[in-house]
Amino acid sequence: MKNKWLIAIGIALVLIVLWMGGLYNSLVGVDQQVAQSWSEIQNQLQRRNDLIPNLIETVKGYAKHEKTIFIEVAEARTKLAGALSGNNMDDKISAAQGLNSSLGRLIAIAENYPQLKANETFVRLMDELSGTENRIAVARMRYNESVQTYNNKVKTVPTVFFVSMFGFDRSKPYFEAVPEAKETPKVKF
Amino acid sequence: MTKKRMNLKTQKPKNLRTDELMNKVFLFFRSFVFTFFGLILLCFFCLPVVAVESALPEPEGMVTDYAYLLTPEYKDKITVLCTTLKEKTGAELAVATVKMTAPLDPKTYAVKLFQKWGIGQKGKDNGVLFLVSKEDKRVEIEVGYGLEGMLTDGKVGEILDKYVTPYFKQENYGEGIYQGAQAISLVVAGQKLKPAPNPGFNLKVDRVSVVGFLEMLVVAFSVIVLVVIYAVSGGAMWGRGIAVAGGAIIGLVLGGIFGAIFGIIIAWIITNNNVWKGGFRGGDFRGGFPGYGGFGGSGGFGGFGGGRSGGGGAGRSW
Repeated sequence: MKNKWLIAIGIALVLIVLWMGGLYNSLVGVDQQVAQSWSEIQNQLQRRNDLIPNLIETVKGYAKHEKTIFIEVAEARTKLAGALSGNNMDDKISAAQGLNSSLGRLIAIAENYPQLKANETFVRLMDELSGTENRIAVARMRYNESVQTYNNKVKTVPTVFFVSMFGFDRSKPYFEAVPEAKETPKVKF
Repeated sequence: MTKKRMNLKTQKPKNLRTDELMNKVFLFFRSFVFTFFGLILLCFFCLPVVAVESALPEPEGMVTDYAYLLTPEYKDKITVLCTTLKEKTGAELAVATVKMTAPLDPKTYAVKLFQKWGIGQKGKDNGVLFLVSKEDKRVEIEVGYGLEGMLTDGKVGEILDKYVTPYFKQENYGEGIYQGAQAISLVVAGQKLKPAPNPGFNLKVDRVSVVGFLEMLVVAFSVIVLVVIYAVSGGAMWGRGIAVAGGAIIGLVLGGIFGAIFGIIIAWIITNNNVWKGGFRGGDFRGGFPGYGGFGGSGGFGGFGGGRSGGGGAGRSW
């Protein structure tokens, strides 16, 4: 009789361990998804940063006297480059948004120069830049989707009981576009 | 006495016959009412699906012309081009025209449509989506991850400027899409672009096609008229089963039409979008009328390969 009980408890324990293992693995899955979609954002932010010096050079040729905006964009770019090499996600997000707004102003200025707008190099650069913006938007959308999946998972029963035990974040931050960033002129033709 | 009996004999079957006829008419109407309201109810349950489906259409082939911008000749020409590209390089070029992309903006729409259709081979992600939104006056080319190296954003912008928008400005959508698709194919195949064509003297050749909806109504009404004629002329020969079936068919057709119309109206309100085709699709009219050929040209199309994209490419307004 005693043996039977022991066997039953033993089987139950094995089942519980297996179940918790499955839970842990699924958490790793969603966690990885978030990390991967974040790195895609970071790639695209980096790509945009690399395009900016070319853009500044091209615009400078036509609008030499608009010095303040060049300095502003260059500063924002350096700031983002610094944030990207660091580990603080909030810093990265705010630096990216800072660059967004100064870049928007640079583009708005460029719109005032018809010759510049007709320049083929400038048009290609703007295509690359708006393509990067689009990729950032897509990456951000997918990142937010994966964060939503993650947050839903960690905040619902039964996962919620094991999150801190397994050492996962209790929630991940969304990458929201700040109102200011939405107002910046969109790169469009 | 004998006369009366004779009378009775001749009258009785007559009464029976009218009873039987009334019975059939009753059965006919009952099954009509059941199927009619049943189908309308069903359409209402399908509404959320209809609304979502209409926002993002299904592919009908390499070329999906929801905005009726293409003549059959151009549709064929472009389809051949896309098929050839796929055979030679494996890359999938999908062309889609829509009336408008609201509530999404054209680029987001292109990204979501690319994701839904899965253009390009799985793993290689070598797909391109050529999206034209008529009312938005916007063309978006969305490039799959695998082709971003060849079709850079700048290159796509150049193709749009040189080969596509000059024709679009003249409302010659067929030629614009064809030239653009050809330029994309050349780049993907690793060849040099041909010198930009001169669109100066092209006539407007694109027909403004009547919505397939009308064709469908004609088919539906001919079915109804046929059934009614059959019922009237067939008269007493009809069994109860046929009465039930007749009621059901008419109920089905009318219920489908009304359900789809309600569906469209409500989906319109929900999405504030032009959803004619999507609405009918939700009502599954397509399967109902095998003779309806409005969706032609998609023979043998087995869907795209499951490629992905991430917002690469370029867009232009015209």
